[in-house]
This record gives sequence, structure tokens and C-alpha cells, in this order.
Amino acid sequence: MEPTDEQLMLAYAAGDATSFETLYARHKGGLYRFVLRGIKERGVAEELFQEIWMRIIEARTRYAPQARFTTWLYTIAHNRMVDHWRKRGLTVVSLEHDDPDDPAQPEPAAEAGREPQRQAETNEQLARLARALETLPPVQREAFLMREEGGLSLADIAAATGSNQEAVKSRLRYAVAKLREALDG
Amino acid sequence: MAEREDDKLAERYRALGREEPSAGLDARILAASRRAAGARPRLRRWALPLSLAAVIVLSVTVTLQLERERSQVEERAAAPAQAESANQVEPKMELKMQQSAPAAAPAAAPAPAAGRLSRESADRERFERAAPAAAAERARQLGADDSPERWLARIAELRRAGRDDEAEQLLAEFRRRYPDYRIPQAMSKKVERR
Repeated sequence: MEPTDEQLMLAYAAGDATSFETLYARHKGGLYRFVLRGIKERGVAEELFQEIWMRIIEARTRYAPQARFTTWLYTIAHNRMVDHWRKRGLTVVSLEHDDPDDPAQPEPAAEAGREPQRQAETNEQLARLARALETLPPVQREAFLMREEGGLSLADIAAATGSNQEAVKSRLRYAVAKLREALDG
Repeated sequence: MAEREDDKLAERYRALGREEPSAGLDARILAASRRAAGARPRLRRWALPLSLAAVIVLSVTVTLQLERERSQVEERAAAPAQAESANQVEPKMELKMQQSAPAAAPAAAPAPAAGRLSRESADRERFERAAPAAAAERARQLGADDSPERWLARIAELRRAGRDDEAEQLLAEFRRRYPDYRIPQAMSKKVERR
């Protein structure tokens, strides 16, 4: 039977480096896309991605499997991204604001020229979806990405972002509605 | 129905691309993880010989110190006894002894006690003088056992005092130690650079 994430993390904390390799292989893709789609600038996203794993490494001896490993991982990622927004002067409000329709929320501008060629209906649909994801308010995008990339439940997302489940549910509902709308054209 | 819609959305989302970190990034992170894991066994390998060496050094130091103190006490105890026997056996020496006695003999008996007392009070004085400085040092050096709240209080204190560089360093260290700790909004205003 495959060891759980929590067992791997504990084994790594006890000095077994190969356990970390397994753990990293399991989660690197999801976390990378979570950060990349939240930050959008590849260079910065890679830097943050590395910092998140460094913090996992540094905090290994303090790890206590009270929550799922993924919840812990995404909590650290959330904190690191909040720090990033703060440093960019976007303030924590951009990630902690709960009003899904507030137009005042800062939104980094979507990069020009990223839209795929509109050669087929599918491509067009995907382009609309990508744009919709980019323009979602950060709290909604974060909740959606945590669910899709981290496989986190409502409770896990609430724990990782320091919110309550109702707020997370509402963020997801708005996010999904906007993304579906984009798919339908 | 809604679930099917969700599945469709999830499927379309996955079609956006499955980007992965570069091989270089993977290598850097894995190398760091191995270095960190390697640090522990090395520490364990040295832990036993180091603690044995420390125990031996400590035992020898304590034994030598006890030996030295015992011989000092014996010397002091011997001084009045010698004075007394000199008094009995060498009456001619009486005058000579009396001349030097005010400095040595009458004071000989209480001398060790007085010496010990003055040493103790000097030690205490030194300790009391050093105590505030030591306390301040302890307050400055937050350790692994300190709670996150204590760290944040110390950072807020530094911010209030205008020691932003120190506050910044401590905040960075705090983030390393407690990466998953969410700083409450009210506290965040006190510890973040304004």
C-alpha cells in the first residue's frame, strides 16, 4: 500500500530524504499551477513555488499531522501569496475580501497576446475559460484552484485560507458560475 | 445535473494545460531537501561523543574546583591551629606572634567565613548587575520554544520603536519558523512595514 502524504512527511522529518521526493512528485504539478495561475508572471511564480517548498523543508520538524498534508501545503502557499500581494501594494484585501462582485478589487492586467489562435471552437472556448479564470477576483480564483489543483474540500479550503465554509462555498459558487458562463460563450 | 456541469468545467479546466515546474527548479528544491535531511543524521552521529566529552570535561572541572576549595579551607583552618601551637611551644615567639596576630591570628578563625561571605555577595552583586542585561538579551533572542504570539509581540515592539530593519529580519525569520501561521488582521497592521 502506498504511504499517505502524512506518513511521507513524518518520514522526511525523521531524516528520510526519499520520502520528500515522493511527496514532491505527488504535489509539485498542482501546486505549481495553483501559484502560476494565481500570480501569472512565470518568474515570480517559480520563485514563490520554490519558497513554499523551502518553508515546508524548514518546518519539517514542526509538522504535526493534525490536518491533511495538502491543507498544510496550501495554507503555506496561501500565506506566501498574501505576503506577495502585500509587497506588491495590492494589500491583503485583495485576497481576503469577501464581496465577490466588488469591482474595486485589484486585478493584475491580463497579458496581451496570450489568447490562443481562434481556429477551432474548442480553442475559442478554452481561451474564454482562461480569460475568465484570470479575471476572477483573487479569493474566488484561489478557492477554485485549490479545489481543482489541490483536491481540497470546502473544509480544507476554509482551513487553508482562514475563512469559514460558507464564505468558501459562496466563492466557489460565483467562480463556477462565471467560468461556466465563459464556456457557454 | 450540476455535478455533470462541474465535471465538464473540471475537464475543460484541465484542458487549459498541465504545466509543471522546470527540471532545474525540481533539482534545486530536491537538493535543498536532501541537504536538510542530511543535517540530522550528522548531528546524531556527533551527538553521543559530544555529550560524553561534555560530561567528562564538566566532571573534571567540578572535581578540580572542589579539590581547590577543600585545600583552601584546610589552609585557613591550619592557620589558627599553628598560631595556637606556636603560642604553647614557643613562648619566646609570643611577642612576635602578637605583633603579626592582629592581622592574621585573631582574624584567622572568622576569615574563611568572611571570605566566603564577601565572595558570595560579590557574586550576587555581579549577578544582579548582569540580570537586566541578561533578561534583555533573552527577550531579544526568541527561540524555538516561544509562541508565535510572543514573536509577533516582539516584532510589533520593534516597529513601535522604529527599529524597522530588525523588525523586518525577525518577521522573515518568523515566516520561516511558522510558515502556516496566519497573522490576525489587527496584529498584521502592527508587524507589517507601514
